[in-house]
Amino acid sequence: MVDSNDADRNANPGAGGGNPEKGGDSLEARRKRLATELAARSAPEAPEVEGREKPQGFALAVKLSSEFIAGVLVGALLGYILDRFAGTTPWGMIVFLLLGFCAGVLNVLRSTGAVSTPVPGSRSGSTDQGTHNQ
Amino acid sequence: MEAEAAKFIGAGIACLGMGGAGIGLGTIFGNYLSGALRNPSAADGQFGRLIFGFAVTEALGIFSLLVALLLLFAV
Repeated sequence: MVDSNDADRNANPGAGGGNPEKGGDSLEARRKRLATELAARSAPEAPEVEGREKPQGFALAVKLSSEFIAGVLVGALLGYILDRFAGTTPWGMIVFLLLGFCAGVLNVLRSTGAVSTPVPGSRSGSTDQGTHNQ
Repeated sequence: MEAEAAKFIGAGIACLGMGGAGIGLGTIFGNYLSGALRNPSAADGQFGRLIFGFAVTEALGIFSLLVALLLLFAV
């Protein structure tokens, strides 16, 4: 592809040799050729992404629902275990099921990209809080 | 009727509330999908509101599930 464009570039000044604005014209032609080349090079990637995205729809639906249900189930299980061993009979399950619901919604938001995933290194450092305090 | 049997019957009745949440979620996602098919360019901007409506609707279903689980395991 690059070789053919080079051949075109070499052939065009020969064809329009009598042009007085030859330098500017060839620059424009080169920019146009670069734009078309970039479009041609990025065009084959776009349908590939689309084609990759089509089967991702169903997988995304299953992933989102399973993440939400997993959050709720883990919350209910933790509340049940806490109630069983600490003896706080209804309250552990109430609080932990609601917390699990919140965690499930947060998981869904994170996996869709609406909320950014926390980076493990950035939380230990106090740079964010320092900037917020200043 | 024994109290144990009444707990199970109450848990089953409480789970009917999740059917209402299911109807609501079907309405939400169906309307979102029909709107997104009419205007696909505006669909991505409303995804956050879709998730918000999903969370608020599902919370009521989770409440009924909570009542059922409390009846089954905690009470």
